[in-house]
Amino acid sequence: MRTPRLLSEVRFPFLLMALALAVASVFAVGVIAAPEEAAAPQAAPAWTGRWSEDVLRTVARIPVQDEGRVKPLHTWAGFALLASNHRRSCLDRDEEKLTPLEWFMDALFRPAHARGHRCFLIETSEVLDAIGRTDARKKKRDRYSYDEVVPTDAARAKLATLAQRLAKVAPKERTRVESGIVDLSNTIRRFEGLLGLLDFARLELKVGNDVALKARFDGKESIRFTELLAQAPELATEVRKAIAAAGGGGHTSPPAPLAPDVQAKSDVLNAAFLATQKSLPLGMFPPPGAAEPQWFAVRDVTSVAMLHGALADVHVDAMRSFEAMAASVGDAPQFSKHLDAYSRGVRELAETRGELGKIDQEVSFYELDPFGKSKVFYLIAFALIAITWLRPQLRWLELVAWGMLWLVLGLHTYGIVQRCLIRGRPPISTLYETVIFISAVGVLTMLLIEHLNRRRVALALTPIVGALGLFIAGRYEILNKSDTMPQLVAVLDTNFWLATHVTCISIGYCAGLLAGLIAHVYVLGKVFRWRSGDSAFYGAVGRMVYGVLCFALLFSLVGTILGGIWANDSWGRFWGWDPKENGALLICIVLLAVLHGRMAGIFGMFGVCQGAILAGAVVTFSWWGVNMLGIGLHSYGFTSGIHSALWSYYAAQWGVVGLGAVAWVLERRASAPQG
Amino acid sequence: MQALLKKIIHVLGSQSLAFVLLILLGVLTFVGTLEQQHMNLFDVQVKYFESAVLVYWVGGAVPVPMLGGYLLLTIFAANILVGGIIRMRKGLSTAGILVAHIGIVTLLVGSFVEAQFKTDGQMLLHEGESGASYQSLQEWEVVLRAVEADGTAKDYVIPEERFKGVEDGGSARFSHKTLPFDLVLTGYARNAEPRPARPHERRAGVDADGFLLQVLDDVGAESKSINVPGLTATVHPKNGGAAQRAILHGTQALPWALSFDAQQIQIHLRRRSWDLPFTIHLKRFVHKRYPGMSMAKEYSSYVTKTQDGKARDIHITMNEPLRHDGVTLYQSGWGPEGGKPGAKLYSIFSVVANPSDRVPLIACIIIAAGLLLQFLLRLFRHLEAEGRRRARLTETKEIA
Repeated sequence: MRTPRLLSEVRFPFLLMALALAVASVFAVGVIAAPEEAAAPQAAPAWTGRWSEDVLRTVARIPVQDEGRVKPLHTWAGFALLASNHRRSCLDRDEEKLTPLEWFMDALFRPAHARGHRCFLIETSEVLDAIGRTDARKKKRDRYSYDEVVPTDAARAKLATLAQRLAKVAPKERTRVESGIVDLSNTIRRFEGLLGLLDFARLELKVGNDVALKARFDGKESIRFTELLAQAPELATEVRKAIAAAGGGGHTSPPAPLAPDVQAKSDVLNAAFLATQKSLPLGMFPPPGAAEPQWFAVRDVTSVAMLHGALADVHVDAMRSFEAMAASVGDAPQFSKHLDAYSRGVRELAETRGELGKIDQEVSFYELDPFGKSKVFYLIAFALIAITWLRPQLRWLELVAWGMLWLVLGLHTYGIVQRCLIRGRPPISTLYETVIFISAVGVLTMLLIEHLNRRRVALALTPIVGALGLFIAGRYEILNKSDTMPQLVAVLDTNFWLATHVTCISIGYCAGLLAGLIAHVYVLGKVFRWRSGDSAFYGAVGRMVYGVLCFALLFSLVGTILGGIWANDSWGRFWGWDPKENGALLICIVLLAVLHGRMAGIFGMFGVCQGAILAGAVVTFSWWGVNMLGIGLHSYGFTSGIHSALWSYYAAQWGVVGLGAVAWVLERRASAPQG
Repeated sequence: MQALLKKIIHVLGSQSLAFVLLILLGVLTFVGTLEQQHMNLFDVQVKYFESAVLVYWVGGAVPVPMLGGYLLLTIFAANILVGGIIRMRKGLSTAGILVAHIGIVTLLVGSFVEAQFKTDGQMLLHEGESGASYQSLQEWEVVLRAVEADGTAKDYVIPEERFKGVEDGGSARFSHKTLPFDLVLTGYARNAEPRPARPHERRAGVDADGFLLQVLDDVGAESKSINVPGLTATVHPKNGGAAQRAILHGTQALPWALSFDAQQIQIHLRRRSWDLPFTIHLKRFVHKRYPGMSMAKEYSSYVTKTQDGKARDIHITMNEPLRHDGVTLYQSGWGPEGGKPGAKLYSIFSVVANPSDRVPLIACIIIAAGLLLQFLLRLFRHLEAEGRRRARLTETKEIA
């Protein structure tokens, strides 16, 4: 039995949709007849300085709601810039490097200036050729500013039209250039949403010559947006009633002309409404009550205020703060004062809703950038180890590298732990997290192997594992183009299974890949006759591979069965031959085949190493390859855009195995008795 | 003879056979995975993993015979049993492998029990509705209901496997001593729809009341639609009266009704159905999305389970099914998708009756224990050997 609900209890997306339609219908007449002079943006401030550290620190910690979760603006801006520029920085017109927050603040408060920031990476200039924007000074793959991509309305329209047409083509069937055009159009549109986010705050609404209307605004010729908001519900009601009374305006008849006083009200409301509708739908205003989960974006606030006048004081204050900030750009003390007021209001409201919790911790996490720093330190450690190859007598340098690797692993692990604390989840709940987790476990395993078996093989491979893993994580972040701490689909919303099955299977992946990596040393060593005759060395490397394969089998097999038990609890069947399940099974089968082949005497240690390399390829197929098939129940792990990288990897692995096979045959012939 | 038996047992229990079987199983799994891009999962399962032998067409042109999942896993189970448990050298050094093999056999036995005795289907309930049965998603049956003059009814069920074989022009005749007619089923098609017969088809008398079944392609993996079967049923009265023919189709809401004296006969093609040992009443369905997203945050059902007059309130949600009396109910779906606010929601439960439901968990524990034991034993042996190697190295250095 359902009971009528209060407005605040109504599901908000429907409410907003209904409001937007209602507001649009109210202004239908106005849109047609709105005089252009109803709204005039203020002249853009000419300030060209840089944002102070204090301002950026405050902005970083402002909570916003995006992709279903509350996060700091620092995170939002970082991923927004990463999505368009493939890095968390960009250059302005003067070649000055900007952080994501500086880029964000410029887009909001100095849109004309921000249009010159080179924040769009275009992978191939053919994308620009297609819209007639070829720039001979640029490289084939280069970064562009908004003004360079779409300097005119005609260029903008051309891009939009082309993208609209190509959007109808299935993504799989688009060429690289076509995909680039669609992506560019989307990125440009999002950036325009950011540029226009505070259009309302810069707006001067012309009241017109209607005396009665002027009187409602104390005789002012022009008013601020928030001044109109206070009168918006009454004005909108009056306009609606007048339209209804005048009749017409249906599908077949033209709208009836409005009386001048009604038209004046309609014009001013229409101008205010339009000023917010192109803004980015970023949740910036937490609803006052805890019952409504969705935060209001600028456009939502406007719609609600115009139809219901139900805007909370804190939201009106926030809108006023934005107006004041827009007016005081360049005046640091004033700007900071208004920014602090806005930040304080939103944070307090978020806190009362219990949504502020991890905001500051998340900012600290991204500011520290533990994975970026770890990657650099892994490379430094590798360089130190490489020096010891040239100068083996520098034993102390090896110890420094060894110690450094443990410290970097500490930093790497700290990053993982921080993510766990921020998300309230086990280490792995997304594909991105599998990469950072697997690389950390890989480093730890290699260091332990080196500790047990001091041949300097594992030590040399350790920084490669760490740096390569974090490099892949970084590339995935760019490819994914969105927050790496997303909300989880309902089936994944279980910390028990994430902590057991997912962790277990990821350790299995890790071990399978490590066995393959170490096996490369064995096989390529044999191929290139490195340390030939040193059977003790190859014996030790072989034992390492064999041991890691056993380790991989333990975790892969147990992880796979745990996955089946989870599937039994979620979907009602233990095993469904789903691609992801089959991928996990394939790893177990290959590992078992290698171990049984060795035990049966079908092949020796060389065969084990060849098998380990193939097992590594199978792990990659299971980890990434099956995701690209785009079928099955594990749709939350679907991936695209890595075809070439994956096929290159497979080809390289088969190449190494092929080389190994040739080397093995040649060695057998050479050692066979003559005559 | 004994020597041959010995030889067979030797081969059956060999590690070489295990190696070959694993390679074949790996190839089968890989091919069966890729094939899901072109075939639906159910068909892939039947063709690759629930078969004895099959033919895989490489590039659609070159036939390659392969052993199917059933046969491979049966031989594999025998291989583990003979070679990995019975004939295996027993001792501390192989204790872990032995335990792991026992775990794998347990898992395979559990899978066999599941394949033979598991029933699964769905139950759809609107808020406020109750249900005590579930329907198969894949299996169908023809049901003949004989309703007597006093209103009593008796069902005669013909399972799908009895008429599945009448696809290619064959027919299946069913007779029962208490029924006044024989039933002949022909032209079964796994996916079909009725269409009006063309004039020449009518003239040839192949239609049923002016309709024929149009056979459709099986639904592929890409499609969201499902197969709906159909067949032609012909009733031949035992008293020599004229035969009557009708099309039975999976979407028909009402059965084909015929009268024989005071007895009314209803014939229906429907999804295979099983009764639950209890009744489920859906009180409320909750569906939450993440703010501003279409992604589901939670969907769960608040139900009342009633059995033997005792009622119990239960919350069924993702990853938290209801397990009771050998039956498990899972939250698997909901609707109507895109329903307006206030629309009456329905909840879809997957229902499974699987006697080996908990076997994988037991097997997992056994395998984990076995592999861990073996792994640790090997590790300790390796550490001992490494310690001896280092000691020798130190001695050598000291002598030098």
